[in-house]
Amino acid sequence: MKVILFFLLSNLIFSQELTVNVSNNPVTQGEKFRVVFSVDGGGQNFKAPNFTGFKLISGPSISSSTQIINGRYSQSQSWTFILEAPNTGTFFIGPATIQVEGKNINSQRLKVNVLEPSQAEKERRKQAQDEENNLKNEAINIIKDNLYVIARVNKSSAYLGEQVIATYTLYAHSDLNIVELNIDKMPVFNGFWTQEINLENNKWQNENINGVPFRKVEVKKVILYPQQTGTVKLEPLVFNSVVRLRTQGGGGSRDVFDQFFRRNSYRDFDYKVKSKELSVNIKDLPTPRPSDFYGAVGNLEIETWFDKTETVTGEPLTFKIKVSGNGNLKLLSAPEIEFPTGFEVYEPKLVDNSSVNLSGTSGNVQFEYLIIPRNAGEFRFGPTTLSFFDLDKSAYKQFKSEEFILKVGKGKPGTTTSTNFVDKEKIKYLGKDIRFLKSDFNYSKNGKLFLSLIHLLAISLTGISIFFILIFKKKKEKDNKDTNNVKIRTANKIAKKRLSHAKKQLDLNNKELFYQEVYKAIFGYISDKLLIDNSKLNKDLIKSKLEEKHISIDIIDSVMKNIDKCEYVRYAPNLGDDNLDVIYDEISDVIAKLEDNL
Amino acid sequence: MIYFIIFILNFTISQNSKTIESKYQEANSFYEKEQYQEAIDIYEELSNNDITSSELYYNLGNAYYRVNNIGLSIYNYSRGLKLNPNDDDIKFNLEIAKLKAIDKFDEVPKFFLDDLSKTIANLFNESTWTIINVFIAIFVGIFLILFNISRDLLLKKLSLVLTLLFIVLFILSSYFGYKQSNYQYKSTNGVIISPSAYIKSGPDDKSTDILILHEGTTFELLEEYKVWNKVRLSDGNIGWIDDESILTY
Repeated sequence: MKVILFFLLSNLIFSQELTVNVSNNPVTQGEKFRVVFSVDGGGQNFKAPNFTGFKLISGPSISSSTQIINGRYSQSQSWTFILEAPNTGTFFIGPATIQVEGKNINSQRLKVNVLEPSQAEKERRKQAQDEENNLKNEAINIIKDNLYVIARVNKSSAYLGEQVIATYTLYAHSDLNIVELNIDKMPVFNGFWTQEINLENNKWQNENINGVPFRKVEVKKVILYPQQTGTVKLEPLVFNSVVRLRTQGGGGSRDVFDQFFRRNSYRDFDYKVKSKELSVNIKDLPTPRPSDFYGAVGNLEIETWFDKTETVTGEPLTFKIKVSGNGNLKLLSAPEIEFPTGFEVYEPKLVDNSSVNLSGTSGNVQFEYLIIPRNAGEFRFGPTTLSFFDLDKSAYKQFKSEEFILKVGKGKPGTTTSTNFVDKEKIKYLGKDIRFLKSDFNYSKNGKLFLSLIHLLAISLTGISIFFILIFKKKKEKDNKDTNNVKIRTANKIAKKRLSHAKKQLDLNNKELFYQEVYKAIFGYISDKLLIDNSKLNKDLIKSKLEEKHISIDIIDSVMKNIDKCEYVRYAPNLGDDNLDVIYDEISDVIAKLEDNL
Repeated sequence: MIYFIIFILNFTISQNSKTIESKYQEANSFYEKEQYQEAIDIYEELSNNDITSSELYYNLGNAYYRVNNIGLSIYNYSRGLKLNPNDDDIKFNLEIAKLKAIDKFDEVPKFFLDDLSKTIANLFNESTWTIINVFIAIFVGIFLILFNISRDLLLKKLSLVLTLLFIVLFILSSYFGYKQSNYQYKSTNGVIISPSAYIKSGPDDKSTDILILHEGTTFELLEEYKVWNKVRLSDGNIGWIDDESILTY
């Protein structure tokens, strides 16, 4: 009553509210029940609560309804969840939220009691479960014998690289009603290189197995090339199937409704169809392996040839290796071929003419080596050897090519393809031609000049000239010096001699000659002493030279006076002073003084 | 008398030079008419005639290049470049001819002083160096004499400095002249002219082959022993190669 009142009240207060209902409360453990949230009008952003303690089976399923009753229009929206109660106890369904006209509205928190199922209920459930299980087991037992996948390999033991063909075949009883059949898991073949055989056009075939009509189809066929030794497992192939069987009445649930409908009815059973796991023993190839073995295994033939054996430089040749037969052709790596030096070798090109069919890979593969001769000559090449593992004999078999003689002539100028110019510094010259001739012409016939006779002669002439010039100069200087020294040393002597001559003339009273002698004496003396030529000597020069030599002014004056006197008397002999003795004494005195000071 | 001798000498030289000059022009015209082999024959005849000329070698190199004889082309360009180390045309064509050589090496960088002295030596050819050398000697003499006779102190000092400077220059020019002369007139380098040749570890046929080289590869000549030449390649490899497949310059 209280609740109803509250409802009414709330209805009055709020125009809309979020109501929550459960289909039954309390619920028994393991029972499924419904929870419905509904709102009048419409809302946005519905947020379901956390159904803690319950298991969400499905939901929400949203429904909306519009009603018009007595002209009154109403609309409602609901969200339905189906929950299961795994445990007993009391649980709460928390509030859900919705936005209506901008406001958030919460539902009420709902209490749900989960009760232990009653003994009878438990038994009923258990029985139903058992019957269900029995039915399923029975069905699986039936299906098992009528729907299966068989995996087969064409050999249980193989060498590395030897082809192994694995086939997965699906068998089904002709009358079996298969509703659904999907591949669940395709096998992955670890340790093998695989080559799938295309089975798209394969169709169901009929086959009698022990008198029972069956249909069969090859689902997967693959060529396996073992890559590792030892026992290698092949994974199973798995199908998911749904098979429809007719069930007999009686079994099943005690539900009246069920019983009525199940009697002589059909039921679908899930069944996983799985092939058995297989294993293949992989043997290693015998050791030692030949050095010219490149992994070829099978029943093979090898051929080698050149497209041409005569060419010119820059013109490419092709060397071809053809491996044909049945074997692991797709797995071959290009053999390393050593070509003579002077050939530019390009990466080999693989031409694959092999095909995959039901018996494995067969056909041929070709390796084409493009080589470009860079220089002329005759080159021997080969013989080239190649080994493969022959499965018929379980032994290595060696192929030996013939010896080729390649004749390379000189290519025409300009036809040489220049592909190997990668030098950055030299790239600027690429595609350029040489510059044209020089028309001017300077030549010499004498050859080496440095240290030649002419060179040595020129140098030594220079040296000798310098030498002689210097010697000559030195000698002249020395001579000069010598004469000067003599002059200086003998100046006094000569002066004295002249003075004694003058004295003689004085005694003879020969006035003119006396003056001549004293003049010569003093003039000659100064000339010798100062190393000035007689002809260049004059009074001014004497004066300045003596002053340079720091002779006292008295002496210079005296010299000047006496020279004046002598010159005067020489040009006017009759006017001379008669006191010749005084002059003689004075001049002797001056010369003596000069001798002391110079 | 002297004039007469000069006249005779002049006459013979001019007579000779006339035929040489005309042959050279004849070869050039063959080349222009793309008759390269005829041009080569004449150029070769001239070069065998005791004539050294960088122009002649250059043209001969061009003609060999045209007939795709890269080894001889490189040989002649190199000879020409030795005589005239600063000729751009020769350098350019030599570079192009070397592009056609088969072997490519990573060059080993040279010691920079070696490089410098070579660059300086290459400033002039050896006859120019000789002339420079003589002139410097003359200048040494002039300044030495000036030093000796000058009475002015400043002039004396200046001439002394100049004398010393020119003595240093004389020594340098002698060194570079000698170097250049050796470079030009002794075989210092070589080129392979046969299509291919083996470099051996020692100077005899039984030595092991180190490398196979091809036409146009150039190398430095280190030493000669009988018919064998010790060579250093531009990547630093050293080995012996016999006379038959190479030409040295």
